[in-house]
Amino acid sequence: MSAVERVLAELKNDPVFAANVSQWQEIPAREGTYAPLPSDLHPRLRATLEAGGVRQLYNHQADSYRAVRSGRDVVVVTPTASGKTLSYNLAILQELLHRPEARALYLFPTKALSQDQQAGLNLAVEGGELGVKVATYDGDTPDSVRASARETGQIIISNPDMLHSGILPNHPKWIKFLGNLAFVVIDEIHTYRGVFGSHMTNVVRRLRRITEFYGADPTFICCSATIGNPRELAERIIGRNVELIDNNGAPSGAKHLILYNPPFVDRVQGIRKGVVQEARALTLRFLKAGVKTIVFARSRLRTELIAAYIRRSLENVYTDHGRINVEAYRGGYLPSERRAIERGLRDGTVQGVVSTNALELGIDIGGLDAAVLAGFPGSISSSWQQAGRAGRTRNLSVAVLVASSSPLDQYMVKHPHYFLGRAPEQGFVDPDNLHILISHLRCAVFELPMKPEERYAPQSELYLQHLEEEGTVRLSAGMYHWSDRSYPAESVSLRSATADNVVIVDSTNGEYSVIGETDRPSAKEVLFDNAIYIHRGEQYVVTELDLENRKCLVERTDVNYYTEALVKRDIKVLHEDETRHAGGSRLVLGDILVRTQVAKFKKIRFQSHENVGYGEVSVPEEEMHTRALTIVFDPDTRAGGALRELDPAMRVPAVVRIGTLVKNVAPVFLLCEATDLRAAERLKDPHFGQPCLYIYDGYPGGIGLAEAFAGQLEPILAAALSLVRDCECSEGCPSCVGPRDPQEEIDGNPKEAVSAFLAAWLSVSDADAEPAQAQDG
Amino acid sequence: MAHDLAGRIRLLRQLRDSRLTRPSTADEEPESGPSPQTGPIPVAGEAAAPPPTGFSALADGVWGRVIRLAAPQLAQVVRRGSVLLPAADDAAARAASIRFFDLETTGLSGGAGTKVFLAGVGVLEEETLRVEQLLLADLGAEPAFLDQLALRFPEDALYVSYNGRAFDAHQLKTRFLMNRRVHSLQFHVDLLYPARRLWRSVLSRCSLAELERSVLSIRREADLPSAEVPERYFAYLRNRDPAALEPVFAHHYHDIVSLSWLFITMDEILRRPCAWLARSEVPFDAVQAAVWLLSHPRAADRRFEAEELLNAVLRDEDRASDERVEAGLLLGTCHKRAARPHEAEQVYRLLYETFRDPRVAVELAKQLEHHRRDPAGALEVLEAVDLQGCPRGVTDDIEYRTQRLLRKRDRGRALHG
Ligand SMILES: [Zn+2]
Repeated sequence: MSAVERVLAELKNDPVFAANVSQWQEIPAREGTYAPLPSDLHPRLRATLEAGGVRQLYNHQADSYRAVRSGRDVVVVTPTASGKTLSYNLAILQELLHRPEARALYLFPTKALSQDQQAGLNLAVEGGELGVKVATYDGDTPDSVRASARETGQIIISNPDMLHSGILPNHPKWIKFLGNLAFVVIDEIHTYRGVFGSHMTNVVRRLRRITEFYGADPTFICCSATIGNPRELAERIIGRNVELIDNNGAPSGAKHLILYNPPFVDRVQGIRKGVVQEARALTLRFLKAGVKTIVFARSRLRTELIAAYIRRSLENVYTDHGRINVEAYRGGYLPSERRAIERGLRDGTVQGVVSTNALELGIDIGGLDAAVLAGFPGSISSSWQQAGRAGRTRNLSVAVLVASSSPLDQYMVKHPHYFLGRAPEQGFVDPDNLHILISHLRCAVFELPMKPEERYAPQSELYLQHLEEEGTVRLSAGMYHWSDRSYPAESVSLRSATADNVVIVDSTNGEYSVIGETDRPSAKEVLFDNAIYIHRGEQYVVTELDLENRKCLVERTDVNYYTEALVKRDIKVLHEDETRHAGGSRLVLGDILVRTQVAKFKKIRFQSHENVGYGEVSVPEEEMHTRALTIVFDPDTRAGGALRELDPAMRVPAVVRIGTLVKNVAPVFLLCEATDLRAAERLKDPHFGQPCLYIYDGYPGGIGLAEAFAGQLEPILAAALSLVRDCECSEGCPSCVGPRDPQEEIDGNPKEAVSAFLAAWLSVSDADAEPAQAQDG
Repeated sequence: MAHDLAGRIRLLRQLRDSRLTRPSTADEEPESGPSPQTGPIPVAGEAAAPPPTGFSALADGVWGRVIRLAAPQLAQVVRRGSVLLPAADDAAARAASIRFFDLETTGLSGGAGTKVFLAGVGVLEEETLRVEQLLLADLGAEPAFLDQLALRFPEDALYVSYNGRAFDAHQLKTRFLMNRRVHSLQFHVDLLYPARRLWRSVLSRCSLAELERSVLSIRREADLPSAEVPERYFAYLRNRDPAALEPVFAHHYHDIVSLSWLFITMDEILRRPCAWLARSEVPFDAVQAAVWLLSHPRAADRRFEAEELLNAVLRDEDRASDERVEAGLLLGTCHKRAARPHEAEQVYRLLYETFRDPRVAVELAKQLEHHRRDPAGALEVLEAVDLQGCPRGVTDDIEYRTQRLLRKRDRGRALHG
């Protein structure tokens, strides 16, 4: 009996545990389907494969080999541990052996992944003496080897950021590489959605402009984890038709999937045991039984908390149980720290790891037996991806989703058939977002002058005219030329709204060392003076946030609380684009200006999570121009009527709660993070003169979330209604509409009000939907 | 869902205008004509714009001017052949027409979007330096501009620049590549590298402007800082007023002329370093000058000057001990390479007796042991060294050598005893 089998049997027989399980699903093992090695394979390549024990291919590997060899662009859908890399390496190595002057570019979303990939390729390539030159080119590549990488690297491993800011703007240095570029591999293409994907699409547009200039037309090979629309997403990003290869032929071991809802502490107020403590307890159980475990936490803070709690619990036992080593892993760690943890997981010196979604991607961390999802990761496809981190081998594995009290978690854990049966979400990009497109258009003109009629993007000439007015481009002799002294790629970050990151410096004992960085808007919300910052389980207090110099000084400290900013928001409607009547309400799409100000922070005690004090914050306000969907509750609409049927005192509380609800439910419909979407309510809106609910995009300019929300309004509201109705609490709790807030001073039952309001709003919702109307405001 | 694009761009513009507080530099030209926010953009017509003073059209969109300046000293240096130039046989032919060059670009960070808008080349004609400046009148005229540059920058000529190897030459090559042409300067001497040898330890910076002040004793009146050059050009493109460019032309012209003077001065110093050291009006790093001479492609021709220079430093009691030790160590190496062990020993002996420097002691001991066959003398030298504050590597070396010599002595005693 394996350790996993033992611990599963123990859990099944534990009545306390079993009582909280809403679903226990056994996913049977899968046999592999195979194809022989291609007959035209270069003898050296064949020898290398056979030396590595590869005598046949999985079906999908053979199919992608054939498709790429015949010059078709492909997207290969690959679950974890399905031999993904071989599905593109094979065709590429084959070509490079026959045509050594050909070049390939491998793009990974993170540096960590690309370094991992190079290690793997070097093994394959050197081990078999294939003589193919592989080079990594990223921010960590020393200047001394960059020139030789450009000149001699046949396979260059890089990331979109480096392509964007280092390679494309300097393409004349890369003439040999780009002029012979035969393949572009875009791995983990499902990560390129939303803002990042919209940037990526533009980076690919720019790459294709340049390769075309040099007379090359590379084949694109994309790999994706399971998502709803891999082909559509890939086609959108590379701008061409692709062939979908999703006949996964890899075998997999049996897996137990457990949905676990922590027990109530207070049923009336709807308070359940915290996800942090429950995940800790479960993980300890696994680790002590000798089961290698990965825990996924939803935030950096929680990652650090869970790791710290687990370590603390192990302190008492490790003399008996030998050393169980548990590490935290998240963005913001230095690359060397992350490499060390990854190595520890592979070589077995680290038995447990608590991670943000940073380890959700294909970084090689060896075989793990159990995955604990501390909270629903926000999407069904992410859940499968994280659960897939356990059981990379053919062995039995287990994945447990520990639901938090958040509405989305509660919805998933109470509707297991929805969770298990629903097709994964779709990824979408909006490369023509005003801000994103303009940023990349600047870069594109910098890289090569542009003819007014060039179809860089729909209507790009209008944007070019705008840039001409701005003075950064100039029309001369029939072409737009870059006419500014700056280097535009420098001020465009693919990952966040702003390029200016704040560096976090530990100044304890007068020794200055950089321990991480974060983007400027979030710095204002997490790194204000006196904030508690947690890094690798250590607590730091912010001594000085210097936004001007993009620097934050912190010192080590030891207190029993953490801090949370209280954020004030103000909204101004700038422009109404479109009004439609749907779902029993008036919906207005348009541009808004959101002003955000952090003026105070709360101190929250560890474990009990009670509020133990406040502090003042003085940071400048942040301004964002974005897209919003406004739901206007006009009296003559069904939604407006439903609102007016409520007791006047209950109207504001009800609308506030619906805002919270939809914001929490929407991510699973839109494949975005809960923080990507914001909600704000006004009982008497100065612009519309009516009660309103604003749902707006958290990214400057908007990346299409407001529009997507408009299209999904009814299913989202229906999910919100079933969530409120199904909740066991009596007056609202964190799992549905939020607990009763004494400061609101309301007499009625807010949960019932919301439930009644939504029911009335949705009752005849199909009847009065009207076609969309454009209106210029 | 269609975006109302025009409306959204209009909005973006309003937001930008209301929020943007562009820092206006004091010397920015007031813009003539309608403001770009409300009115039409000034049309970029090369033909409509008047040429800058002294310039005439070389091609559509390319202006050029020539300024001549008497340069008898330069003519003399070039006739004689300069120590700064490579020695290949056909270089003599090229040296007759060496070209001093400098470029002005639309940005300082490089990359495909940075264009060369002003190129200058100085060629010696008889006793005069003929400086030609070529201006790109508008960005779209780059192909014609490059045609003109190709004529004035033949690939096989010999070029002299200051910091042109890392930036200008690369920029020129890029511009040709961007226009689907291949053009690169094959023979290029960048004075930055020897200048760094001569002055890095003496001056705070090694920029051309700093050398002008400290070495050539030139004071430019109201020179335009390099950082402001791109802005001037963009202002010129916007309002077509060539006056905005006058300071750029002057700055660029002076850079080329200074480059030729710097060339003369550096040639003088490196040709007769001892004489310049004695005159001491232009301080320079004599040891590094010797290093440069010794690493010269024609080092054999320069060895005498280098050794003479090192000797002068070594024996000059007014100089710092560090400098004298460095000079002596280098001189000793020269003697050893030239198979003059006695001279090497003399140098080390002199240094040893004056400074007791541990590194010198090691060298002296090696000479004594291997050439004079005097291990006892070598041991005596090593044992007398003061190891206080001596770098780790040297201490280890001394320790190792001492032990070895001790064993050798003991073996000798055992044999004879
Ligand atoms: Zn509830």
